[in-house]
Amino acid sequence: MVCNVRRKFFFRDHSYARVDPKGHIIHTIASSLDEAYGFKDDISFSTACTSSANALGYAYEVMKKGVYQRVLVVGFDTLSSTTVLGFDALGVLSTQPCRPFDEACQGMNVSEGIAVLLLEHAPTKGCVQLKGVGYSSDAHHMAQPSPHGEGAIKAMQNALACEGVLPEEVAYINAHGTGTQANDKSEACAIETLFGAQPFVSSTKSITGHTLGAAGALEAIVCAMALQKQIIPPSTALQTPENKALQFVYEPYSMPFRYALSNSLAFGGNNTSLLFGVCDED
Amino acid sequence: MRINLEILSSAYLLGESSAPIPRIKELVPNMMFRRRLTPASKLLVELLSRVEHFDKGRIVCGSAYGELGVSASLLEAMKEGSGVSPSDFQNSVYNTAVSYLSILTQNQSEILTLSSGDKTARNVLKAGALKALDGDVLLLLCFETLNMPRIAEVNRCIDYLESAVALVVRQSDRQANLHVQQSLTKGIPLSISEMLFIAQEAEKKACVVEVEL
Repeated sequence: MVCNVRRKFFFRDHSYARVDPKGHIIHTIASSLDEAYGFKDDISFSTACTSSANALGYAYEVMKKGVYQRVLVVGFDTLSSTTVLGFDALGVLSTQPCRPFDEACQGMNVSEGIAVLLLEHAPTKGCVQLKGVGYSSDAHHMAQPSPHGEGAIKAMQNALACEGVLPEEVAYINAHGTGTQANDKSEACAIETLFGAQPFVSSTKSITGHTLGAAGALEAIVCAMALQKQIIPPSTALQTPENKALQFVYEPYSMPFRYALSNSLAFGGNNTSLLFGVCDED
Repeated sequence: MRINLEILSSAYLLGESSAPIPRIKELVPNMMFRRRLTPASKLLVELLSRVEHFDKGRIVCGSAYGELGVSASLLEAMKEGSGVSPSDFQNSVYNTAVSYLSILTQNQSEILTLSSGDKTARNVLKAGALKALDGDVLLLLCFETLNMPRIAEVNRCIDYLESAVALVVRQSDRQANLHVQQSLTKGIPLSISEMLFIAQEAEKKACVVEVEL
């Protein structure tokens, strides 16, 4: 499968939400873009923190199955009192910069952002491609991941299976890594179970915070840039990993590598894993 | 691209204030779990019990307004300055209902939730058709639960405040005998209309519906 990834992202410095006359706020961005540019089709996904990862997954399927040659994917979320107070009520917010996977992790930082990716079906040697998507459901709890990460394991396995990639071929995993103990323990367990200590692991939410619905698309861009530049991005705030088996990245690390995986895990046990790779043929 | 979907089974619920879910205690015997369910979750549990040919597997679910009552409750709490309920917050996401369904049935498959305003049902059909190309039997769902307090102050056109539709589908090579169109039932949310039309037609005859992507 060939989906070239072109990147563009920015963070917003103002928070606003436009509500359309029918109140369909989830669909506002897609319908506004459609009105402005006259796209052939538009669709909006709302699966909490996996929303834009699922949009990318859908784009992958649409292109793989020959429906469209080019797909624009937009992931966004804006800061709102509802979200901040909601996560506060769940007791998962940190008052300090978040430290995913650290023994001293105290919780997550909610942030806002928008990430836009244009995927096109035009393979050229050396370009970055979205090579696979894996989905699964925990079927465990609305807001707690399964303790041993069975759902995340299944999603990652499904992503690898799209391209027949072996776990040992994946050099870098951009983890969901929110900085909450429940998520980080479960995800670390899942990565260790499937990959052992081989791949480098980081959570770039230590830099961006958790952009919720935008996170999947934003971290897809991080993976695409990592593959393009052949640099593994770090977890900036990590000091003492809670999981001693995984190979975490503390500083940007330059090395040749071919495959990267990006995990998104959401409320309701909704899991999506995206596989990115460098195209090795024209 | 056109994809033909065979409708293997279907069910729908319409309620002017609340849709009938008389067997919820039987379907969800665990009282603690049952108490956590949102109105939309209960509709989907009831629908799943009514359809055939699907126990577990891939699901595509859609709703234009999502968990409206829970979201309203969150906003009310914020307006009153009382604390936000953690369970209200976790239940306010659009994939709440179908996630409870997955927990109840131990369904670990792919579950996708989308929201496309009035085009929601049409897009559920499109997404379902795309995924049906993999050869799987899929459950397609859409719902609206609009019966929140004071809804009458803003509602001018929807008679059925609770509504939900389920279609069990698979790709078919047979010729289509149905094209996607809106239901003739008046007073329903437009976001469920095309799926309701198909479910209503499937009550009368075996249906193969053509979906254009």
